[in-house]
Amino acid sequence: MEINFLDIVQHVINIVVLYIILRAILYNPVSKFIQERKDKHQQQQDSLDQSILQAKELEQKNQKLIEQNQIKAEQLVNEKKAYAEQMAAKTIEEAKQEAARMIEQAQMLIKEDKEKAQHDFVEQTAELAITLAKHILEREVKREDNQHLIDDFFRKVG
Amino acid sequence: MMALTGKLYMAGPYDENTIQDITQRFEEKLGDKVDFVVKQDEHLIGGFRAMINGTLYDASVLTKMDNILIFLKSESQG
Repeated sequence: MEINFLDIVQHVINIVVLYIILRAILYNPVSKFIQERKDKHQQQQDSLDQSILQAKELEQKNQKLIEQNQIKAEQLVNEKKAYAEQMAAKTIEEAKQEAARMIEQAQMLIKEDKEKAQHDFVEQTAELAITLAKHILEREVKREDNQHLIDDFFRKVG
Repeated sequence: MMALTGKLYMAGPYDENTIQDITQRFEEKLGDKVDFVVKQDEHLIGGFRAMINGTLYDASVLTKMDNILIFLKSESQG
């Protein structure tokens, strides 16, 4: 086979021309397209990274908020518990005081009733004794007794 | 001189001498003559009550017993 130098040159020139044409026609748009895709992809990646970062920040913030709320809830529970215990102690103390007051009042009433009963008993006994004495004296008063009453009266009044 | 008038309530055994004795003693005490309307009142048990010019003179057993009762009641009240 014979090698034709001119053909080779011609092919080379063709290839170069084709390369130049293809480069002019295809390379730049494709490069531009690729670059745009690359930029878009990068932009999406940046946006995704930003979103992940924001999500992490939000998660941290939420975690912190949860911890704060847990602390607040525990404080609230402790406060309520302490208040409930305080109220229970106060209620018990008030109930004790009320019971003591009622017992004291009842004892006072019992004492008053007892004293009144004793007083009534003495009064009734005295009335009975005097009534009996009157009945006896109605039968037993003698003339001398009457005279003695009269003498005694005038001795006292002068 | 106007005589004083009064009522004399008597209880227990007594006679006219007792009435005269009481009347005389009131006359001596009051310095005036006393005319009594005498009434029997066995409720008094013994002694007498005399009402002269609105003044009550009480020498009855009933009043003495009532006074004793009042005293006993006051003592029981402490």
